[in-house]
Amino acid sequence: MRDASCDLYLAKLGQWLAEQGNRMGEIPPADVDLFEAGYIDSLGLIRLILFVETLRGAPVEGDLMRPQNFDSLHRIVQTFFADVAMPAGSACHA
Amino acid sequence: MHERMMSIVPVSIPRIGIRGIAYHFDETAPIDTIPTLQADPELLAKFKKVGHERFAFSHVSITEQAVISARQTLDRAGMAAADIDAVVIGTSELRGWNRFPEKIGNEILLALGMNDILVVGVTIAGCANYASALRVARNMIAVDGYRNVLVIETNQVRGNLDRVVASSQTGAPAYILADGALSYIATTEAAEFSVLGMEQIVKPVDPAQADAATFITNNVGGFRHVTQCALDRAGVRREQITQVFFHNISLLLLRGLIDVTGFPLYKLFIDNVGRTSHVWGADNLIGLHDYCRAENPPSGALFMLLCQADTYYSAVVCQKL
Repeated sequence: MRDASCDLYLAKLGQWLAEQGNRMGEIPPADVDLFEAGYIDSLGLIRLILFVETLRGAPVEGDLMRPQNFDSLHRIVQTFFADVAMPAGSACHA
Repeated sequence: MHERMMSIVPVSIPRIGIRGIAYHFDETAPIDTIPTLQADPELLAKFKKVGHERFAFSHVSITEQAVISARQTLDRAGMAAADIDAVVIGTSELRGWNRFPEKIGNEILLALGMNDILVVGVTIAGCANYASALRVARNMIAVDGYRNVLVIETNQVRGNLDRVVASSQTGAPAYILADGALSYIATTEAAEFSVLGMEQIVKPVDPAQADAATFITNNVGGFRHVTQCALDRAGVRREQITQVFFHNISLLLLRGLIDVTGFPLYKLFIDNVGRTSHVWGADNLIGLHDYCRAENPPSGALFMLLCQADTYYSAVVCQKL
């Protein structure tokens, strides 16, 4: 089950990739591998990390700084937005 | 793997200074003359697009260029060989050297007229050697009580090594290796720069998982760690830094570096990307030297010197005196 906050983050990330990713204008499906499908390359990954940090308002901690945590929109939301600006009692199960 | 968070314990380490920065390579040539790029016009065009125009190279040996640089350092510092208490020699490329490694120190000391003196070699930090060498010199001063340590970094492309390095996965241009030597004196006496803080770590990557994305995230974590740690040790805020120095590599890669370390792009020194290309572990201090010659920043100006060799990351904060 997903809540509105998760959908909001998915939408923002998808829009950003459509504008900044390598497949211009395309919003990636939430479960697709962003690297394998060519939405993002290694240099684009840096910009994606910075965008995730801007969205969550906090830096990505050292032990979470792994490419696997950025390989799909779902994974990004699960990893980085599970506890961000969520009302008490609601968890982000993207 | 958990990131190792080392607490910063205040210890009584004397602040050291740097004086007499000098460097030597024989000449520079257009990158069009590199055989690998002559054979691949598409790759040549890619390198030009990311800022590469010329590269430095030497006709003399790895020790001769070191000696030329060291003599300039002694001259600029107003010192003689007898004023030097110890020597640190950094070099990370020995494939063109077919003799025992200790012969490097022997040749350099003979040419400089130094005798009965400690020599320490620094190698495996590769292009981050300069930070290791500086740390060794600092510790020699702090622990052994030396006053003036001559530090030399000397490297050349020799043997079967190709100057041209592009990503094995994407083909993107990364850097062009150059030849050159750099030297300075780490000292407790009068100096041009004070070393305020330094940090260096290795974040190893499993070769079986070493794709480009893994290296990118590793770089982000590594650079952020050493940058913040060096700033903390120096007692300096990021926004106080006047200029940032890194290796002379692809402008695209430099853009990524500056983004993740939180410095504005205009503070990154890039003038030598097109002039010399990547002089191994000497880029930072060559850049600092050239920047100060050209811009003459005021006393008190603060500098961040970042460098990397594969999974080695280092940061040094220094201040113009």
